[in-house]
Amino acid sequence: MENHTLPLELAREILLRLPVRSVLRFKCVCKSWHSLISAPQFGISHYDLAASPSYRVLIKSKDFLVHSIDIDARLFKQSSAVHFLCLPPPPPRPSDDFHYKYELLGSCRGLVFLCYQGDLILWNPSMGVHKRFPNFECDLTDEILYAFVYDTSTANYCLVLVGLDESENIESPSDERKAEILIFSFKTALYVPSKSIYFPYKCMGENFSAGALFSGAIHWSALYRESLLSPSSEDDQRTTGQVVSPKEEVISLTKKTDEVCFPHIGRAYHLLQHCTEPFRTEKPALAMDSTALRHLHFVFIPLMAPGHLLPMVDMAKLLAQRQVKVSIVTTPLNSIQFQASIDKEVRSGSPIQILNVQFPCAEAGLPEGCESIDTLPSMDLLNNFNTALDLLQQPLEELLEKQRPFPSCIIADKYLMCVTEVANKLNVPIIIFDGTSCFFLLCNHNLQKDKVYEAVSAAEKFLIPRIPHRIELKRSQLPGIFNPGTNLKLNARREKVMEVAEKSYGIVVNSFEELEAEYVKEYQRFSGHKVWCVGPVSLSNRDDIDKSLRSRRNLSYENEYVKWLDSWSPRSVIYVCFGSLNRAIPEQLIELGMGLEATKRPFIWVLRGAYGREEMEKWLLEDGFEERVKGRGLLIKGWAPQVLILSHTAIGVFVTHCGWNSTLEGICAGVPLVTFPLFAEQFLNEQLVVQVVKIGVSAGAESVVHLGEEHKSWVQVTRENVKDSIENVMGEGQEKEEIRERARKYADMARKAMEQGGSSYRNMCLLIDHIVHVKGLHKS
Amino acid sequence: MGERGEEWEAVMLRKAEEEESKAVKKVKLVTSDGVTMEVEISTVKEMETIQAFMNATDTDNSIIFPLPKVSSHILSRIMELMSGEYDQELVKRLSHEELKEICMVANYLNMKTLLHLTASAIANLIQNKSVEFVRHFFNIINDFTPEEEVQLRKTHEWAFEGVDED
Repeated sequence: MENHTLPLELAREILLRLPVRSVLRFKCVCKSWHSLISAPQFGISHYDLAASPSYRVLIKSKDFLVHSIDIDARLFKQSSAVHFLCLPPPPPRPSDDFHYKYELLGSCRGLVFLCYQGDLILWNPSMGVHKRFPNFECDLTDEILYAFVYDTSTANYCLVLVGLDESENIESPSDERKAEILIFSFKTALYVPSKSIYFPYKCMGENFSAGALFSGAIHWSALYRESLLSPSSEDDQRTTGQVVSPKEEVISLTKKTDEVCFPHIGRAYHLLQHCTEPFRTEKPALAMDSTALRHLHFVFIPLMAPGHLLPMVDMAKLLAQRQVKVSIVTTPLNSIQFQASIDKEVRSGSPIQILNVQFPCAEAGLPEGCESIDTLPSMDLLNNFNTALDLLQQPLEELLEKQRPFPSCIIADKYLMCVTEVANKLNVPIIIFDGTSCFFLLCNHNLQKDKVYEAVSAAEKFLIPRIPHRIELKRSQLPGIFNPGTNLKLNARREKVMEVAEKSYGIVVNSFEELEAEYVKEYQRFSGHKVWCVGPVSLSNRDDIDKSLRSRRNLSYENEYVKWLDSWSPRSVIYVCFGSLNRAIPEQLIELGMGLEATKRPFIWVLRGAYGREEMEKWLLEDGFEERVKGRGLLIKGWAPQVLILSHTAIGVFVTHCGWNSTLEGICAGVPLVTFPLFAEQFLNEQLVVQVVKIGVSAGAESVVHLGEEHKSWVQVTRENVKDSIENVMGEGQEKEEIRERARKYADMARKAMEQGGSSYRNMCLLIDHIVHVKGLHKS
Repeated sequence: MGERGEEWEAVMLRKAEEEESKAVKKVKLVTSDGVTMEVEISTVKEMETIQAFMNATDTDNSIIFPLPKVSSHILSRIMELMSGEYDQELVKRLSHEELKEICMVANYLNMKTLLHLTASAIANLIQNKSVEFVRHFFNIINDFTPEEEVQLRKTHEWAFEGVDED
């Protein structure tokens, strides 16, 4: 720009991106900057945009002076790490009370909560401003717990006071001590009483009366007496829970602020958790009595195939994070895959364990060490594998019987039919894990009932009955059960799986309500099954360590992949993976490869699977494909850390076989999908992606490839189809941009569903609640 | 037959659409130093100020848009950043003067991504600098009296400790 004066709105844009310290310094630049920075709206915008929070400890050094120490600065070597702040001037008082002092009572989002002779004062130490509130008067008794918190739902600072009734005799074991709750809102400057709570704890004295808000609940340190806990009854609205503190030292600390103080650092014996935020009474009380939680024990029994195992392990980890005992039952070779990630959970305080059973390879006629479907040397052995699964019944029974607490619920893969027998024998409710979506479940259910597909030929399109969208499929695209291949044993097994699932207690689904709300509701209505959507569970792997720990294969290559991706610009790379049980024939894969080459874009192509591996390798060697795409094409032959790769910003599209896990992982990563279904329910998942959610385009596959009948398949998707469909989501154009935008939005919704208070989070609570309830019924 | 017919129709329709999108419209931007730069219409999409203007007028194949506040040097830098999908590395290579000017143009043309990128880069650059550095950097005249400034510095003394040498 020719004239060099900086417009004020631009100065604002820059200042909003600076840390508080710099902003305060630049108040001195000129008058217009001073007034810009001093405006209240600037403070709010600045807080909302703050990218990197810092933590500071405030220590009162003299009556009106405070030490502020940056705890991120190592050993206070930086001269800016420690400085002094002046407390607000004391309120005017009669002359005789000069010996009154400020008390630091808590902090939250950069604001410090002070008390001066009963006056409440909110103080912003960074800006040096404060606000007083009327003298503290409420009719609570002497023993008080309090917490200074920010309620994001009402954008309001609150003071939560818990008054304990001293008059009752707390020594008596049968006594149920009540506590009154009072909430002071700093917005309205009013006290509002909340319903009283059950409180079987003993306060630890004044030094421990400050609570802190973290993990969505206010926490206090308190003493807990075994004898005071009475057995739970389900109908009362108890809102306290007790969890054993993972660490001995409890530090109350709030996040995302520039200035915080530690109310107290102390040795806690037990951490008392106030499970619901009392100022959000519109939400259902989701907390349970601690005694009930203590007696719960969920047993997860996943199918030994990566696509089934990993989501159940993720789900198990999520449940254990709610401080409910969880066991995962699997075989030794399978447990190696995720042992490290479970160890990490245990270290962070989750009550989770792995229980191993020996896999009956020899008895079922399988080679030694074949403990999962993807390690079978040939798919001809699938019937043997199923036999081995059935043989697990006896060992499972023996193992579960001796577990303490006794299993309160079994969550098993729908393909593990023997588990139903085990559950019946042990009288434990069983919940089915179905590795698909509610969209599929509903379509499947309606097709079973109506059998419209029976009247049409394989290549003819027909409408799926009684679902919220208009979805057309060919009979040849239906899952195996409607469209049987010639393996009769397998067909019979499929029917039995359906039958068992019908008898189960309910279904947990790795999906989230925002994705397919209508289908969740309709499926529950039509089938009468209870459905809990608790996903996308892959989001439980929060950091890169989790993502790569998720399964311990190919670990050494992971850094290499990330480095390679780092070298490409955002949203430029194609990621292609057809899942762990690839069934595409070599001719089709070659066509896919040629299509990728033709896009002239960088790509990662994961090649694995049992069928036609030799032919494929021969082609790669002889054709010179690898040489031609060198530099821009990365081939991964074997297992790939998919969640890690997809979460990289360089990925611009995911070409997927539409296995449900892959589809969900694509959704979570916020990338558009090119759908290339091969078998099972994948053609239906394609419809969900393309027609319902509208975040991808179809590559144009026409028919299911049946297991063991791969040789009958043909090239369904040409290289032009591949190239065109990729361009249809990566290229320029409003429609394409809209697809990408929608993909990003769904990723956002997925993340929110899993966060505290999100739909999947809530459903996990309801699941626990439900089992507590069931257990109670069983007892009576 | 019915199905084949439908498929055929769909293919023809798509072909027609493709042909249409191939005729990419160009926009001519005239910079302050009189240079005319021809850019694709998709490039201008991000420049919301121009976009608003274009929506108001009828779009044909020869739109000329004057940019009296932007030099050809800066405009070509912006094109580089856009074609590089706003790579951080490219931003690091800019001089202070270029960075500042691009930020102002991004603000003027209402280019959100570019504005965020350059404003963040500037914030990063000045966050540990002195008040004098910032005044010099943005050509800002100090309109405080010496007394006022001393008073202000006193209020937030801690914010002035340990800043970088200019």
